[in-house]
Amino acid sequence: MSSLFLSIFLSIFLLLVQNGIVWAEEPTEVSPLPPAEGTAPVIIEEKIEPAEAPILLPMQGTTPEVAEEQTTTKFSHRLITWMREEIVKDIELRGFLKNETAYRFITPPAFTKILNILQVEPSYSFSPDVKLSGRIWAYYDLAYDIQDIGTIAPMKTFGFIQPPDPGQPEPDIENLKDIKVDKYGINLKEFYLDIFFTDMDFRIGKQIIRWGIVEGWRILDEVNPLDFKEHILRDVSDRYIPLWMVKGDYYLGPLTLEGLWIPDVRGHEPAPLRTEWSQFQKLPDLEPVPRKLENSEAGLRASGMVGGYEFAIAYLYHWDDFPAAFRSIAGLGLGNLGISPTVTFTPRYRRLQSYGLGLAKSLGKIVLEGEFAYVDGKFWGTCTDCTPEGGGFGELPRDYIKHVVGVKTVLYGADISMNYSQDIILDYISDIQQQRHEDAASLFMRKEIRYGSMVPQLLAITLVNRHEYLFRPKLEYRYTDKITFLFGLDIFTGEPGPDPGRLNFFGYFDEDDRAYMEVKYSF
Amino acid sequence: MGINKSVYVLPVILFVISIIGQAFCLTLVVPSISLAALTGLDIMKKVEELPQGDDQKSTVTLTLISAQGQEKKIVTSRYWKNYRGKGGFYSKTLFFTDFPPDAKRTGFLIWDYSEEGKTDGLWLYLPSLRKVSVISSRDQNDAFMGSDLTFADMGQRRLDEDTHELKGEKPCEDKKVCYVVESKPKEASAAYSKRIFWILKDDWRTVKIEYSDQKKDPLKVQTIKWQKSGDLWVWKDATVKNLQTGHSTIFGISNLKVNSSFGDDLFTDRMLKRGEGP
Repeated sequence: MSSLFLSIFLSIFLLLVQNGIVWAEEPTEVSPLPPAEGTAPVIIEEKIEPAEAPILLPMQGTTPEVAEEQTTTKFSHRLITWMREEIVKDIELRGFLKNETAYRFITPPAFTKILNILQVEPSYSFSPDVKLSGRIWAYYDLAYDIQDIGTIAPMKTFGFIQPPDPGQPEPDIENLKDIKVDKYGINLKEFYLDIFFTDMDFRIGKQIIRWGIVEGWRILDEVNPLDFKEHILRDVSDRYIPLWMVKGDYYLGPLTLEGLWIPDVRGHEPAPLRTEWSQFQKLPDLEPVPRKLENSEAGLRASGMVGGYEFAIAYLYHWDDFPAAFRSIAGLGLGNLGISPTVTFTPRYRRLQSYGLGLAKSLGKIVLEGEFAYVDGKFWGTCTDCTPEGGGFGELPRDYIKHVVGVKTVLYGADISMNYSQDIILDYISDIQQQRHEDAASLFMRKEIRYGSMVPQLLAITLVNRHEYLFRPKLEYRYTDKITFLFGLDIFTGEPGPDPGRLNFFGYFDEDDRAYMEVKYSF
Repeated sequence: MGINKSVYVLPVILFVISIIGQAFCLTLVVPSISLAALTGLDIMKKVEELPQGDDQKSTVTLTLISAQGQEKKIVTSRYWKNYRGKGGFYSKTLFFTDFPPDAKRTGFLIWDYSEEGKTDGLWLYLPSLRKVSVISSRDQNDAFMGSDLTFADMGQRRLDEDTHELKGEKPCEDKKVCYVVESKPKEASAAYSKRIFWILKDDWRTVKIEYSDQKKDPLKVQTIKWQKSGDLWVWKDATVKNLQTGHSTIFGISNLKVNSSFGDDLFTDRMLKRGEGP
C-alpha cells in the first residue's frame, strides 16, 4: 500500500518537474519606477483544481462503447469507494479560519486589509513511516470591496502615474495607479511526503527549510526565497515561499547530515505592483532561470552537539534571490548637447555559493548563539557618477560575509532575546552604492500573564547605519482553547530613501504605521 | 533582510508539564525501612528515593479553571526515560502538544543531566517556525501562567534547599495515617514561607501539599490521586487550588504505559521535528 502511493506521488512529482508545472508563471510585469538594485522576482501562484464532479452510474442495455464507459465508471466508483473507506476516514484535518483587519492611522487613514483566510492542513499516514502532508490557503480581502483602491494604497514619495503607451486605452478611472489588486485566491502552500527509515529520513515535495539557528535572521537560512507581499510582517509560514525539492537526512550518532536537491528555482517575490507594501519591483526583461538539471540548487548541512555546543555547518549552491540588474549607460558626456544618457538593464539571476557556520550554547538561564556565512559571487550596483577607474557604472562582483550574534534569557518570567547582525562587503570600493557594512539589531520580549490567557510581546528592529526602526508591540488574548484575538501595532520610522532607485527598507513605510486586529478560530 | 522573531507557543506550559512528569514519575513501591526515630528529612528522602520505573508513556491533560469557572485545556503526549545517571543523565523527556489545535505538534525535549550544577538541556520545536531552538532554563520560582504551580513545586527543588520538620502523624485520606512534614526554605527569596507535605505512612505517597506565601498566609493546596501500574504507583490526577485567586489547575494522567523499552533515539531533535511520537 505504502509503496503504491509512494510510487504515485513520485510519478506526479517528476511529471510536474518535467513539464515545468511547478514553475507555473504569470507574465512578468514591468515597473514604471526605475527598479531598485538587484530585484526582479516572478510572481507565482498555484491554483487548486476543483474537485471532480460526482460520477453517475450508467443505465443497462448499452452499446460496447457505453459498456466500456460503464466498466470504467465502475472502476472509478470502486476506486472512489475504496479511497473513501481506506483513506478519507484516516485523513487528519487541522487548520484555522482567521480574519486580519489592519487600519493605517497615518494620512490618509484607511482600512488597508480585511483579509479572511481559511487554512487547511490535511495529512495522511500510509504507515508509521510514510506520511503525506499538505497546506492549502484560501483568502479573500474585503478591503478592496468597501474602499477606494487609491486610498488603500496611496501614492508614495517616489511614485507617479505612468501615462498610457500610444494606442493603449486610458487607465481605469477607479484604479488610476493601476494597482495590482490581489483580492482572493487559493494556494497550495505546502505538499510533501515524509518517508522515515531507521537512520534516514526523506521529505519530498513542496516545503520550507529552516537552516538558521538564530531566529529571525537570514544568515544560514537562505534556502527559501521570501514573499514581500506584506513586507516582513507576516509569519514564517506565509513569508517563506515553499519550494519543490527533495530533502534527505542521515543520522549518524549525535550528527545529522542533511542534503537538499531543489529543482524549483525562484527569487524573492515583491509585493504586487503599487500596493501598500510595494518597494522593490521586477526588472524589465528578467529571464527566469532555465529549467535544467544543472540549474538546480543544492545544499549540504551537518549539525549536532559537540562539547555542549549546538552547531551547524552548511553549504548552499544557489541562485541569488535578488537578481543583478547589469545596467549599462550610453550618452554620458553628451549632456551639454542636450542628450540625456540612456540606462539599459540586462537583469539576470546569478549563482551564489554560501558557506555557513552556526553555534548555540546554553548556559542555564542564558543561551548564546550566533551564525556566520561567507557568500561568493554576489554582484553589487555602483553609483551613476562612478569613475571608470573605480569600475564604472554597472555592477561589480564582490564576496561578502554576514553574521549575527545573540543572547536569549528569561527575566521575571519574560522571554527576552537580543541580536546584532552585520553584512560586510569584502574588497570594498566607494563606488558601490551599498555601504561597506550594514548593521542591524533587534530586541524581542514576550511574557505570559493571567494564567497564559494574555501574552504581550514586543519586537523592535533597527537598521543601525540608516537610523531606521520597526516597532511591533502586540497583545495576544486566548479567549478559548480555539479562539484567539490579537491586537498590535506596526510602527515604521526613518527616511524613505536617498533616491527612487534606492528605497530604505523601513523608512520608506514611515507613513504606513498601522493598528491591526486578528481573530483566529483553530480546528 | 527578512527579520522575524519567534513566537514561543506554550513553551512555558510545556515546561511545567515536563516537570510534572518528573514529579508524577515518583512512582512508588512499598519499601522496607526502619520507622524508628524518623526525621522530616528522612521522610522526604524516602519520598525522593523511590523507584521510578525504566520509562513511561502517557497523556497529560492540564485543565485550567478560572475563578469564574471558565475552563481551558492542554493535552500532551509524554515520553519519559529514566537513565539513573547513566551517560550523564538522570532522565530525558519528550512532549508533544495534541490540544489546543493551534499548538498541535509543538514539541519539547528535556535532557536532565546528572552532573551537579549542570542545568537542563531544553529544546523547543514550533511547527509555525519549522525549526528546533535551544531555549533558556526557567526560573524555579516562577509561577508561570497556564498552571498554579511553580517549577520548584514539581520536584525540582533540592532537599538541602529547605529544612524539613516532622510535625506529627494525622489521619488523612481513606482512613489512613499520614506523616505531616513542614518544609521551610533556607533562602529568604523563596516563593513560599513554608510547605506542608501530607505523606502516607504505609507507602510514602504524597497526597496533599499546602503552600503558604511569603506573608505566611495560605496560598494554595495541592491534592494528589494515585493509580497503580504493575508494582508502581503513579499520579492519576492532581488538583491545585489557589486560595487567593480562586484559580485552579487539574493535572490528569491517562493512557499510561510503563517500561516500554524506549530507545535513546526517541529523545532527539529528529523526533522533536516529527511532531508526534511512536
